[in-house]
Amino acid sequence: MPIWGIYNGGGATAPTSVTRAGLPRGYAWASATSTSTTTTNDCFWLGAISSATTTATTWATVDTFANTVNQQYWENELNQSQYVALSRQRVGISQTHAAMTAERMAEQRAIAEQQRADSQRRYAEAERVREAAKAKSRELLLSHLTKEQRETFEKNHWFTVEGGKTQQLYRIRSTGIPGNIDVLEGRPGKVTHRLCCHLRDVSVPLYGHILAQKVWIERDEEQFLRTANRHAA
Amino acid sequence: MNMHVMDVMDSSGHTTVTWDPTDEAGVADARREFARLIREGYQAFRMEAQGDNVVVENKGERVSQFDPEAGRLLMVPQRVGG
Repeated sequence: MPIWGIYNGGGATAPTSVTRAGLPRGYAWASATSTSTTTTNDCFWLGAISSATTTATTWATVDTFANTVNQQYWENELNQSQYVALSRQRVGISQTHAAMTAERMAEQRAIAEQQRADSQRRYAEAERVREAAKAKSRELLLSHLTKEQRETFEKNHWFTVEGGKTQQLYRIRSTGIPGNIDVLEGRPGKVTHRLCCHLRDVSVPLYGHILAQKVWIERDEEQFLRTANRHAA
Repeated sequence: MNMHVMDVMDSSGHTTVTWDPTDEAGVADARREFARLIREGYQAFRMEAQGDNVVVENKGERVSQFDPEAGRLLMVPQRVGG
């Protein structure tokens, strides 16, 4: 990547496609002072520092009448002291550029780190709210279970419920929502098939679904069976 | 004070509405909340509760009208077959 370059503008007036204001961050503008009847020199210095402008104009010139670049790199035309000055300036520019790059990267790293921390904080907060909701819904479920149901639920993560209308025995498993209701034959019975029916609002915690299933089976069995989908055991 | 309870299942686990049947304003608030939930598609179940609001198994029924004397109500959102 060149540390300096030449703007090849059109016409004798100041370049329009590249302006001082339009230069990228860290780039400075230098305009030639020498003007003849036939040529006007314009140049810009990439990554330059302001002290380099005077020298820069002697290193790069553009004939904006002819719209051609007269000189680009004329290091071999420089005398010793000019070459040393150029080298020093390039080192300075290089260091400035490196410092700016490091600063930009540090800023980007800090922003990314901040975003990551924000994301983790939001996730942790959402997780805390989810866990609190789950605990609250579990507490409500337990308050609706009999002593026996509570014991099997604590021990096996399921409990049995008798249908309010048919006295059919169902086993509600709390390991998940889909197809978690076993229809049992006999007491204790084998599973003949499974039922899937849950709350439409899936944002309700798991134990809310379990309690709803229990209440439907006990107090609204007929409608529940109409809604529930049957699945093979 | 004899507080009656309506448990509303929602994404927070559940929220609880309480009222004292002798307090008209409290009853009106609970009745309004009940009506709103029914409009949203909730089902209401009256639970028979004893003592410290412990639900008695296999008792209770589905209700469609708010009864301020109901000891404990459970409001269940809409269901869907899966």
